[in-house]
Amino acid sequence: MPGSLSFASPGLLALCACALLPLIVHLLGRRARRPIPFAALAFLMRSQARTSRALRLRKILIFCARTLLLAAIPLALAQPFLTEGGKNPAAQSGPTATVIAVDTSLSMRAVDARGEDSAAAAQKLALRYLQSLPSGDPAAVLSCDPDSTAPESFSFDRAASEEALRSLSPGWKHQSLDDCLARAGSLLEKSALPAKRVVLASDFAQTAFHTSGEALSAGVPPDTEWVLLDAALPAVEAVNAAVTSLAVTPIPSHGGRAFRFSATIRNFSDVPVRDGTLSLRIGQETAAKSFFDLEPGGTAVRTLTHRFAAPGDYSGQVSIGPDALEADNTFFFTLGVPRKPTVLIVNGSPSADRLQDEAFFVQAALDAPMGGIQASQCDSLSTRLDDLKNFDALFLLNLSAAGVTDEEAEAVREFVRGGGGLFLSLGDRIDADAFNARWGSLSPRQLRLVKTSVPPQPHAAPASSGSSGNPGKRSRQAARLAHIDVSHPALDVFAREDGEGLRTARFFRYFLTENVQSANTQGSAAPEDADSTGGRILAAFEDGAPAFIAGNFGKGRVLLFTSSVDRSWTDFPIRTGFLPLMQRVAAFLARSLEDLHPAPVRTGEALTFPASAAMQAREVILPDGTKMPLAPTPAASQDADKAGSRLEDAPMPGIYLALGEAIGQAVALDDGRDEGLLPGQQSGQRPNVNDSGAGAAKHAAAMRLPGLDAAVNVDVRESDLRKMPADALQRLLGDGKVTRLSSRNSRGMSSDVSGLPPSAILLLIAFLCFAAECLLMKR
Amino acid sequence: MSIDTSLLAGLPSLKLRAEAVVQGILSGIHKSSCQGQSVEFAEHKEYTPGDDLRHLDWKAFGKFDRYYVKRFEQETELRAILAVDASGSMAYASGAMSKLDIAATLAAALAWILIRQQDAVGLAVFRDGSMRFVPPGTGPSHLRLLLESLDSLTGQGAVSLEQMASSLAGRARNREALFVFSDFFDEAENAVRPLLALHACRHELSLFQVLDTDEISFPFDAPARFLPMEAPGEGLAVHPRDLRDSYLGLMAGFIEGLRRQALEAGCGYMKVTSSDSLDLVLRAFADQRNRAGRTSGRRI
Repeated sequence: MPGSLSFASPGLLALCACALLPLIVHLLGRRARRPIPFAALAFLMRSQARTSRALRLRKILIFCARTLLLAAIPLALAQPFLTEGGKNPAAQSGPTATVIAVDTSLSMRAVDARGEDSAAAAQKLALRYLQSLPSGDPAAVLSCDPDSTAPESFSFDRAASEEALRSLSPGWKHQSLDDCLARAGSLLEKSALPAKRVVLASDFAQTAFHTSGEALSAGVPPDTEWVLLDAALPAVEAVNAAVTSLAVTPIPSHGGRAFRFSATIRNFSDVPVRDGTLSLRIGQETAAKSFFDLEPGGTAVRTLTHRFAAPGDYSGQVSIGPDALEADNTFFFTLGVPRKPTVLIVNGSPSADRLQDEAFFVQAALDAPMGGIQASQCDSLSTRLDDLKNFDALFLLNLSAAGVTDEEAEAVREFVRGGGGLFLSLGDRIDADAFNARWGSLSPRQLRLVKTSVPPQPHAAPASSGSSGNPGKRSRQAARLAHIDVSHPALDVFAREDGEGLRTARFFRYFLTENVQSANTQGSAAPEDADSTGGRILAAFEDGAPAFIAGNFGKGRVLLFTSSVDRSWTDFPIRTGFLPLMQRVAAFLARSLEDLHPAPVRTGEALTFPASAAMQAREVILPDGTKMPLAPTPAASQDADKAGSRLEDAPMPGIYLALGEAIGQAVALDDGRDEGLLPGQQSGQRPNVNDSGAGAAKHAAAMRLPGLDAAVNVDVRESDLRKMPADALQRLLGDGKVTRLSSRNSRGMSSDVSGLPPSAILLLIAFLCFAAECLLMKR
Repeated sequence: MSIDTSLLAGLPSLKLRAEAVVQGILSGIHKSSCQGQSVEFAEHKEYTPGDDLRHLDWKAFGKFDRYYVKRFEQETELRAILAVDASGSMAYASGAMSKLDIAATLAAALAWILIRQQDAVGLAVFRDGSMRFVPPGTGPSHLRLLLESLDSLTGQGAVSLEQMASSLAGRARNREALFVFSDFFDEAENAVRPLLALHACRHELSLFQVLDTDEISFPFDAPARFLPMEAPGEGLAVHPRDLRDSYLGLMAGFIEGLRRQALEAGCGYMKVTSSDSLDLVLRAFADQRNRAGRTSGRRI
């Protein structure tokens, strides 16, 4: 479709006749030369011969400069503009209902070399078009943002329409031009005028069209005229790369506070990106950097590592250098660096012989380097009752129920109810009835009786040492773990080997447990905090008897191990799986495995804040400082961990600060808790749950919950700034009449490559001609 | 007191103009600078071998016992030819007097002075490719003849300097003084050389380059068509502004080149413009000749 030049004030073109003035003056001047007889004519002839070429060139230049000067000024006053398709699109016979739809998607934030974004260019074009509309044409301004309110009807109030156009600004979300045109079509249906027109101001990015072969014109009335206001960046300036994703994974070998940040970067343009820089920023500080080169359309993954100085909740970003679209150069993230759990081990069967001591292997496993667990031990609960609130988890190892007073049992119950973790292991000092009577409400299952697969030898360690008569038979008869749930956080370290480290352990004796139905029918008065589901079986023996059962009590977690943690009933403590299992169990019970931060989402998606035993988000502060309330999520599960709150539509990228309630003492923060605060946050904003005292004090007032802060990133579909080819767009628009106007760089509109409006270019030419004429005349 | 050309132009005849110029010049100059046999004693000179023994001053020998030779100022009869260029280009006049009027007035004044000093003065007028020659003569009647010949001059046609030189060479005898009044415009390259060659033939050559002030300053500012004055032609339609710098450069180079060539050849040279006072020009010329005469031995 050939482009052509039209004029807003064509009447002023008559003034272009002034361009003939230099020619007329020249011709008149030739006729009016005065004859002068001159004696030294020979010298004049010689002078002219010497300078004639330069003189002629100068005369021609002066003539051209004057002619151009006199032609450019009236041309500029006539306000030319480029059209594709012939006539001025606004000039039609009869009134035409016009919908001016403006693309406000994220890609409209792309900035050209002069610092003007596509949204501003589109706004200018739309305003100019609106001003050129005949006064009899009703118009309506429509934002392509699906969340915006479409106008009810058409209006002749140009001032209001202009104000509506000026109020539009680019958003942060992906927008579908298909939907936008469908909305425009719906609006046009309301007009009774036979002539209809859709004006679309956009960058016409390929990714904005979702149609699959169906013409876009299907959604608009037939014979609708199309006017496309092209605000796309010039192809050479539409260079854009983006951080499309980020994977944050811990590095166990570097300790619990080291993480690997793997960022995926993609070049969406047709020119290569060289010497790009990828930066990891934690708060205000740059923690690591990397470099990359990207071929056109290429993708690169760069991995940065960082070890946090202290546990806590962090937010940060990985970003690349500036390009046309700045918004997609940064990928935000939030991260919880696990704390160092504190564990109190109550040794129910202490022994002077370390190998016979009930807690020896557990203590050794928790104290292992890189475990990050702080464990202390005692032989009796009574000595540490006042200290319980300082621990995250309590390990009761083969602790006889008879040795536990009611006060001690109630303290343990209160500890677990408030969010603490409890590990129960059994042994020869456990009587099933006494255990059920004392811990029945805490334990996920009631104990039934002891099952012996192989009689244990006195002063055990027979299985491994082989000191018995028939070690092969004994080994075959011992029970083994068969059903292992490696999806559980406490056992997921065994997922890679499918629990092989656990399966080699042999169990000679273990408690059988009551099944859930029988336990419930006993009608015992279980407290309301008790887990009535019977818990989750994490591992079971070959005969199906549970070995590890996880349950909840109040806000706390309980894990029951039906065998012993010394070698009297099993050789598990000397197997390779024992150490990591104990560490993971301790971390699980202390809730240090959990990162409650919501998973990063894209703008426009729903952002869900999980509720934990300690925190419940009620509001968020958006990156621009706006505070928004959260809606509660539907109670789809009985699991308290899965209930939370939700923001239906994340409006912009950045870090969303959670506000809400901190409840209970489950998140017992250690001394380093404040080091993880975001810059600018006050430590008072953190949920300080330790001051709840012995009771489960509740903090109803909304406070900052850094542990629930969330990251929202832009939709990378908007990162692809490449324009839909004109012929493909023409096919999508069907057979309707299409007119294209451009302010910047469209194909075939070469006179406007600078991005300046044509009138400005003409005035610039006039000024240059004037300057050139002055210079030539001076010489 | 100087007499400028506007005053001279008000005088009705060439005779009066010449007389006015002559009155402005100190009279009584034209002593020959050539020492020789004469009655007027000039100075003593100590004898050196080769000096004429006839001029030994025996009285001085008796008085000083040394040989001295007497030197005398020789008062000779000067034969002069005034050559006037009356070509079309000499007719140019930006003011009251054309270049030819100025040349004629200068020639007449010079003739007046010379004839008053009993010198013989001839006249050669070059016009339209021909020469009208008046042989050298003395006396008031001859002066009247010369004045009449100069008074009726009008510029016309073209005169080449080479032709002028050859014509003068054919008419002049030995040791004659040649005074050439012209603008020396000639299309040919180095056209003045044949004229300067006359100086080498023992003639005493003096060049008066007569120019109009317009030709030197080129004051034109409006578009014009410049027409030739020596031959018919279309001329040159031009805006003077475009050519001024180049023209002035060429003209200055031409004037300086002629002056340098004349002086290098040992000739006299005077540039006369239409704004100059002619008596001062002639006085300056006389001074120039007197300075040169100390070495060459001749004065006007």
